[in-house]
Order: sequence, then C-alpha cells, then structure tokens
Amino acid sequence: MFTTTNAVGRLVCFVFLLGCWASFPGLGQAPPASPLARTIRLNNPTGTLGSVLAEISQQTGLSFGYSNDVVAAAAPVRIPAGPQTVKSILDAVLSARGLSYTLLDQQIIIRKKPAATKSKTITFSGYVRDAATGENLIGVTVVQPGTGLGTATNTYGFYSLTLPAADTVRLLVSYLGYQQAQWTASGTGNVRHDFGLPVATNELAAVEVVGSREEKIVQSTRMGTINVPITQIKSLPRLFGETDVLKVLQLLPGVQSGSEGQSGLYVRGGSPDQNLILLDGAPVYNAAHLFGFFSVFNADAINNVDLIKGGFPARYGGRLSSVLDISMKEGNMQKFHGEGAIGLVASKLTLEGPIKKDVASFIVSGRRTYIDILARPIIKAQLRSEGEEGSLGYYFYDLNGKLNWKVSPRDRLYLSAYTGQDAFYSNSRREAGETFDQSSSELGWGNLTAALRWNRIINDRLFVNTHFTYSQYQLDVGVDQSSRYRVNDELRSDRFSLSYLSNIRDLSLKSDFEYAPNPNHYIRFGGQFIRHVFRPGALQSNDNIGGVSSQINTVNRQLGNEANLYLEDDYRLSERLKVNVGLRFNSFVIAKKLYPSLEPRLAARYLLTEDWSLKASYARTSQFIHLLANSGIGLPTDLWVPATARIKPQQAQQFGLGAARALRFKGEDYELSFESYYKPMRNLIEYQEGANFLGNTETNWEDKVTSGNGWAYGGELFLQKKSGRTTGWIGYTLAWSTRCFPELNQGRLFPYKYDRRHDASLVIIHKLKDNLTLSGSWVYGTGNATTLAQGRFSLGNSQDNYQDYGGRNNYRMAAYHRLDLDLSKTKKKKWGEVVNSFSLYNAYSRRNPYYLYLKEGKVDAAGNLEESTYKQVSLFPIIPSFSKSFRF
Amino acid sequence: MNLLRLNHGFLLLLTVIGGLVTGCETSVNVPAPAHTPSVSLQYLLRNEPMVDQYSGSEGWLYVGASQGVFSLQDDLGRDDATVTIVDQTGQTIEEFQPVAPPTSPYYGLGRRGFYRPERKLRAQPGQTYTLRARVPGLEPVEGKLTMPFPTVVESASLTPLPSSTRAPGRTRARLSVTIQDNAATTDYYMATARLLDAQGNYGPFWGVDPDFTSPDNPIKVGGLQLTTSFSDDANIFPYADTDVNGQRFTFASNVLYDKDKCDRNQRCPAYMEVTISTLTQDAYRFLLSKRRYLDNKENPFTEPAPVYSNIQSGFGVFGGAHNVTYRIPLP
Repeated sequence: MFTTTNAVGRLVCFVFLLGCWASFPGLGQAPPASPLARTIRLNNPTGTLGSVLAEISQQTGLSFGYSNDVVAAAAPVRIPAGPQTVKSILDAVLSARGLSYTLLDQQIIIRKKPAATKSKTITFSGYVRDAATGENLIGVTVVQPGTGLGTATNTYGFYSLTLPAADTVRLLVSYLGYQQAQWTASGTGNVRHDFGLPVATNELAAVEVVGSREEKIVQSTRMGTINVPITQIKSLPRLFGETDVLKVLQLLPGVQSGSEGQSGLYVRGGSPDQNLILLDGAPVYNAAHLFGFFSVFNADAINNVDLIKGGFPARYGGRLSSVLDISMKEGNMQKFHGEGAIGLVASKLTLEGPIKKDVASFIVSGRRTYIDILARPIIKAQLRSEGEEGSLGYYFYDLNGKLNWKVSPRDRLYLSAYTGQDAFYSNSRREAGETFDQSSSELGWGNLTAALRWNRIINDRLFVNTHFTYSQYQLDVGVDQSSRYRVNDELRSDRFSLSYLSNIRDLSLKSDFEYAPNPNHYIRFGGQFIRHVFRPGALQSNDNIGGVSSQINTVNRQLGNEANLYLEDDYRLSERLKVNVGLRFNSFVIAKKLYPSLEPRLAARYLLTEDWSLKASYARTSQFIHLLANSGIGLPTDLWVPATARIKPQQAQQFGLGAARALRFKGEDYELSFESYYKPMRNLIEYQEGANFLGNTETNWEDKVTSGNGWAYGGELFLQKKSGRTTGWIGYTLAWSTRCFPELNQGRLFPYKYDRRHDASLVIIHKLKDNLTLSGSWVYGTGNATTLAQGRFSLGNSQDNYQDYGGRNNYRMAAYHRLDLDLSKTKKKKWGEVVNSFSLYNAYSRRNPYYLYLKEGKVDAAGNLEESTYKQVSLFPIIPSFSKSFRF
Repeated sequence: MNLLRLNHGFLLLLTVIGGLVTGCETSVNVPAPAHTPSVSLQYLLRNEPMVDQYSGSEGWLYVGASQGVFSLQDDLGRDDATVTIVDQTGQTIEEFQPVAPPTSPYYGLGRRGFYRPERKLRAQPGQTYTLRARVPGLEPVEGKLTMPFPTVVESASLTPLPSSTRAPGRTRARLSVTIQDNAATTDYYMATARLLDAQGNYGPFWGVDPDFTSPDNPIKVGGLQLTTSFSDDANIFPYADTDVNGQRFTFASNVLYDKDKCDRNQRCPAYMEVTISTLTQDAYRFLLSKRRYLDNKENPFTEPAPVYSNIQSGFGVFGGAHNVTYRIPLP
C-alpha cells in the first residue's frame, strides 16, 4: 500500500542523488577562510582609490564591482605602510567615503552606505516598449547599477522602481535581443519615463532562448516558471508545417504530452483540466483542434508565453497543476505590417498597424485548414457515382483580433477577442422522382473569448489593471434527416432532427493592483468574480415519423459563482534572501453550497554565491470545476462540470525544493536548474468502472463519476544554453504519478495513465549562416500506462467468461521517442522577407504507440485458426512538411 | 505577390501529401501481458440452504481456473478442488462435493466446476466465516465474510394493473414493499420475488419479472428494485442505502408474472413471495461490478469494468446474504 511516508522517502532519496550529481560547491568540505582575512602588503599605499583596489585585486585575485557614479576612483588615499588584512585596508579607504562593501564569492561589491536615518525616496515609473513597433515588452529588467536595486516590467510593460533620493540617478534597462538603454535623471523628484528599446540585431534576436527574458534564474524567487519566446517557438520543427505553441511546451521538463501528436499538457502528474490556459486573461477551455493534433494558438498573433508549473504566486488560482499565461500581440503603433504562412494543411495571415500613430493600433489574425476544400471535388464525384449529391469534410479555423488605445498617459484600453471552431460535416441527398432521402449532420466544437482590459497608473507606485472577460467553450452535434416516400397511392414524409450541445460559459470581472513602495517590496493585491454557467448536456429532438410526432427538450443549466481575493509581496529580506509570500482566498457557491478555500503561498530564494541559489516553494490550490474525460484519447465530448454538493472541489498542495546555477563555459552562458516537487491531490474525479462516457447530461453525470486522491512527485533537471550560434536545452524528468480511488481498482493504488517515469528532451537550434537555421528536437518518454485484459476466468453461471484486467493501468505501452528536424532559410525581399521551412517529423520513423486494441481470432476459409492478439496502432511515421512564411 | 504564386500543381501536391500523411496509420502485434492461472470461485453463503429442486445451481459453489487472455480452452471449471468453510474458531463447518456435470438448462449446460454444500450450513448473523479452496497446480485461495443482520419486511402489497400489449398473456401488478432499515449503517439489499402455490411450493416457470416493457414503470436508478434472481446475468440490482436516511423505506416496482400458468399436476400460483436479502458489502460490490461488466462488455465507449473480487490470490466472491421473505396472496 502506498503511503505518504514512502513517497517522501523516495523523493528525498531522489533529491539526494540528483543533488550529489549536480555537485553543490563545497559539499562535504570545510569552509575556506574568508579572502578578506588575507594579509597583504601594498606596494603603493599612497595612490588613488582606483590604484589601491587594483593592487588588492592583483595580489588576491579578488575582483571589484562598483559604479563610477558611486566610487570616485581618482580620489587620493593614504594607507599606513606594512602588512594588513584586506578587510582593514578596505575599511580604511571606503568607510571614510561613505561606502560599504560586500563579498560575494570572489567579487567585492562596493555601494553607498545606507543613510543612518530614513532618507527621502523617489519613484521612477513608466512603460518599456519595442521602439519600432510600440509593443509592450514583458519582463524587462530595470536596475540602478551599483546598488543591486531593480525591478522588471509587468505583463503590460509597466515598471515602478522606488530608490533613495540622490542628485542624479542612472537606470539601466536591458532585455535580451534588444539594445541596452541607459538613462540618467535628476533624482530629486518622482519621474515618469517610458523606454523604447531598439532591437539589437537580427542575429541577437534570433538567439533568444527559453527562460532568458526575465530576471536571471539565480536571482528570481519563482520556481517552476518558464518563459518561452515566440521566436523560439517558431524556430523549432513542426508537424504538417504548423507551428504549435503547446507542442513546444511539451519539450520542457515537467510537461508531458499525452500520446502521439497530441497537444494536451500533463504538468507534474496532473491532468489537462488542471491547467489554467489564459489568452489575454480569458480562460480557454479546450485548446485543441482536430482531437489534439493542433493547438488553437496561432503563433503569429502571440507576444508572450509564460508557463507556471509550481510555486504559484497568490495572484494565480483556480487550477491545480499549471498556469499558461498567453498574451496576444498588441498591434504595431508605428507602421502597418503583415505576416503569414502557407502550410500543408492550413494557411494564416496576420495584419497589424496603427489606427492613429502612437495612440491606437489593431491586429487581426486568421488561420484556416483547407483539406476539405481541396478534397471537395473528389468527394462530390465519388458521391455522384453512388447516385447521391452531397459533401463531407472537416476544417478548423482561428480568428484573433485586438485593439489597443492609449487613452491618456495614465490610461490604456485593450479589447481582444478570439474565436476558433472545429467542424465535421456531412450532407447527402438521394432523389428518385418525387421521393427523396436527405440527411445532414455536423459535429462542431470551439472556443470564444473576449477581454476588455483597462490599465491605469494611479500614481507612480500604484498600477491597476481591470479585466472584464467572457469565455465560452461549446460542443454541438446536429443531425437532420428527412424523406418522402410513397405508400400505395399516398405520398408521405418523415422528418427527424436531433441536436445535442454542451457548453461552459464564464463571465469575469477582475482587478489587479501592483504597488512598489520601495525597492525591497513589490506588493500585488486584487480580486476576481467569475460567474460560471454549465450546461453539461442539452438535448433537443423533434421527429415526425409515420404521422406520429414527438419532442424531447432538456435545456437545464447549472450556475456557479466563484470569487477570490489575494495579496502577495515580493520581499527582499536581505541581499541573499528574497521571498514571495502571499495569501489567496477562494470561494465557490453552487446551489446554495459554499466551498471556501484559504490558500497560503510561499516561494523563497537564497543566494549561496552570486552564481548559485537555493529555492523552495509551497502552494495550496483548489479547483472548482472538473473535466469529465474518458481514459482514451481526448475527445471534444469531454465535459466541463462544476463541483457540487456531492462532487467536491479538487484540492492540491505543492512542495518544491530546488537549486539554480548560472554557468559560463568557453565564453558561453548556460543556466542549470534542478527542481523537485511533491504534490498530493484530493477529490479528483474519474469515470466509474464500466461508465459510459457518451450521452452525459446535466442530471446523470454525477452518477457516472467517482472521487479519489492522487500523488505526484519527482525531479526536473534543466540545462539551457543561452547564447551563441548554437542554443537549446536538455531537460530530464524523473516522476511518479499515482491515484487511489475507493471505487476503482478495488481501492488499491494505481498509476495514473500518464505516469511517466522518465521523460527527456534535447533541443538544439543552430545558425548555420545568418539566414539559415537548423533545429532539432529529440524526446524520450516511458510508455503510457493502460489497462489490458491479461486473463479470463469463469464463475459458472454465465455462458461468457470474465476478463481479468489485472491492476488498473497495469500494462506499459512501448517507450516513446522521436526526432524532429527543421531547416529554415530566410530570404530578404524588397517588400519584406520570406522564410522557407522544411521539417521532418519523426525523422527515423519510430513506430510510437497511439493505442492498443484486441484483434479477435478467427478461422479463415481454409479452416486455419488465426489466434487473437493485441495490436499496437501507430499514427505517424516520418512526416516531411514544407511551409512558406512571409513578413512585410 | 510572388510568394502567393500558387498554381494548380501546388494545390494538387498539397492534396496528395495530405492524403499520404492521413493514411499512414500502421499497426504491429504486441505481446500479451503475462498471466498466472489462479482459482476463480463463487459462493453465496445464506442463512438457509437453497433447495436444488427450486434453485438450480444458484445455491452451489463454483470453482474454476483462469487462463491467459488468448487461451482457447472452453470449459474453465475444475472438479478436483477441495473447499471448506471454517468458523471463527477454525472449525470446519461446511464441505463441498463436486456435482456430476449437469446437463439441464438449470444446471449450467453440462459444464464442470459445480459443488454442492454437504452440511447444509445455516449461517448466523454477525458470525465470521472463512472459505478456503485448494486446486491442484494452483495457489490456494481464501475468502472471508461476516454475515449481515436481516431486515424486517413491515408490509408488502400487490395492486393489479391493466395488462400490457407488450407482454401479452402476463399479469401486471404494482408491487410495493416496506422494510425496516438501520439509519446508522450502510446496508446492502437485493430484492427478488417468485410465485408459490397454496401449499407454499415453487413450480417451474413461476418467476416474477420486473416490468421493463412499461414506459410508466418508475424505476429509479440507484434505488432498490426487483432483481430476477441472483444467478441472472442481465437484471441484477443490488442496492446500497446511502440515499435513504430513515428507519424504514418503501420500494415499488411494476411486475409481470403468469398467474394462470398451472403445472401438469394442476398446482397453480397462489402467492407471491418477496425475498429481501441483506448482503455483505463484498457481495454487493461483486454483483454490481458483474452487472457493469455484462452491460458493457461489447461497448467501446465505456471504461473497463473489472469484476470485483474478495478472493485473495484469485477471482470471484465469497459473499453472504441473509434472506427474509414475505408472502402476498395474488389478487
């Protein structure tokens, strides 16, 4: 029997082993004597401050970090002759000048001494944008050199930095892929200043890599958080020529794909419904097209992608496993631009530009598949040969749009919308004189989201963003059949129509405040109200057959109200220790049943050295909605349902422990991180054994499900190369994910269907030439767990034998591995540029398992017995694809 | 624009490639999961022994041996098992003898593996019993139960209903039964009914069936309703009283029976006997899982439905049922 103690024990062991592997510096060694205690003799004790520091550096190997604004290097100094410790020399030459110093590893940082009494402060605030497009830049670091004080821009490109007052203050603004900006201002009063950063060069922009945009991994308190630049996403190989945001995320440690070609995300042992996917703040309930082979996000319309797997700040809630926060582009404020692509299965076009220069802009983007259009003549001809008129096909499309309006220097409005739809359709009509048979059917599903957002700078230290969002996901099934026929001399008509729909609709109002009172605190607080409307299954049927009419109409719905409040603070306790501490209060009311939830959040970073940091985090989360999904492939028929008096909300805790290190090897930057996690989950739901997952309605779904608990734990290793012509990463995850439901598997513990012990990925992007990029990714994953009959037995009173399934999910499919390659060449044109990309999906044509089925034995015509066997179905062998994208 | 110079050749190429990639599904054989043959067993211990003449194989023990999923062996029954039931002191209180392969439709169509209880054990409520079985070549197995306490049928009635064109010739009535229930515990019930003659004897083809032919039969999913018999594969409705919160409850069901069908000795039905069985939890879970299994075995749109077992190292069930009966004169 599984116990928490076992889980923790295994996790501790795992942490220990990986920790040893990663070789923490100084592990098991006696601490070395401080370099400051070393005794030296200065050859020139009466030089300048600069020359004394240089001589200390030369004799000890220590280096100094300081700003010329703070340290007057030319100032004369006089040191008593003779041997002295480094500390006594520094105390003598720096203290008298109002300077202090700190030793970090082998570097001595010199700063101004903090004033003895509370000094007056000033606040710098404003936006950081792309100089060419006016697009807000997210996560740009804004620092005061020499002090270590700084901040980063928020999701809307806004920054607020409060500093001690001074005659002049210099700010350094940096963002990989853009030219660094320095700015000096009078430090005597609050200052509002917007930065426009020019793109560095094409080459620099293209080597942007995962995790590189925000503050350095070593410095950040955040755990399990990864930023994925769109340039990165577009550089990687693609299936059928379609760039897919979610498939790139699957290459990151801790994130698993479901099965072949699927874009569903399984984050740290959780299920896909436990991911909060936000598009400009509005939740997207089904992010998949074509049963998960493509995601709904058009990369051309996206500006930023943040994935949070753990250590959730208090401002995020409502899901157990992850938050995927996707921001759409805002539209170029300066010039009209367009980009698009023509691929194997779909084409897309994006247009953006100013409505009024520097005041308002727009962006619209569309994508549609066209296999149905190309195949239509063939299908029509085939139907005609069978005596019918009609058509059948499948398509999906996405439409994104956004308006962006600077109402005033302090106010900005955004209106964004997305709609996407998948549709299978079939129409046919067969006529013979005055009689006919006609039928049409359609299966469609899709999302609609809209967000109205208002940014306001209340004052230089207080920023507020207010969202009003609408989100809908709906499945529609429609069948309409009619016929006219003759009975004796009478002409009769029959008609039957059926429509089934299920949907979830959210209306939400949310306000987020950000307050930066001083450099040591960054406070966020706010609240949200969400009105959920669930319609798990509504059926309408009308028929008139043989002159008898009947009608079925079930259109009930369930309403749920969710409200939350949160408060969090990024608090710098010391130069080494920084925490993000917060509290979130969630509540959900449905049918007079109230579910409150108080959720503490904590994330801490401790700098061991300038290059090494230890991290820890804790988050408690709750989720008031469930997804009813069958254990096979993800279908659009999967239903979103609310927690009810009978089915409780899902809850989880997540404990994280990790380390991060910045590395420099042969002049190249790397980042190494290790994170371990332990996530117990309660009140998860699954279909009962034998439950039919078709035909769910608002009244019967509770009878079909059962509740239980889950545990997920493991460790993730992530090594990134961040610069140079070759960039990429290696990710490895060792993980366990188990479930225990009293009514499943006889109450015994069983592996989650996507329990994947080993999951590894290797991603490389290499610039062969300035206009030629070769990229590749290789993934490996332990085979998925599934339930297969392994024996059969009789109990006497039945003619049939029963099958022995063994334990639930007791059978492992074959391991999954795949290599994808992409070669892209960029051609400059007078009007813009064209990128031709050739991709190979599954380059060595591995037959990866998609699903298994039982092929019953039979006796052939010659009397030979063909035995029953299990068959493994593989979907994609090697798939070459070509796409042509353009930008003007 | 040059880049949009899409001619018909390019469109044709796209179509061909699209067709190729969607038609690239392949399948290969994978090895069957390993399976170790184990004992399968089914026995329902009652407070009173079943009478062969009336119940067929329903009161018998069945023992079989499992096979690999692709095994072609037809009859999985074993007639070489040694099976005993011991009480909580370890004393053997029941033994079983194999029954010669029965051949009548009642007795399992000539299959092996049936055993008749020899000592006619009357199980006592609250007592714990352990069943042990040994089959040559297989690991010994064991099952345990504590007999449940019986309920009390307070009242029962039959109200005649008009006959149905969907069940021509059969009598329809509304059966209503009120039983006492312990509100503090979760109890497991199953209800069956049959016809008896004036002397209290059961005759052939005197079953009582739930009336599924009638659209107005208010069968409540999850509620107690009539089961045809324990050995019926299709209509088994074990019930857990988790949604009843009182000292008594009533269940009602439309039923069909053959009031006028007399046997060759001119014995005719005179009573309907309703049996309320209080089940052990394991028996309830087994019967429920068996129904789910049989309901869904050919349906690709359902979750796998394994059959519940309380037999250690084997398959099947050692369950307990405490029966109480109530006779209603036929209207």
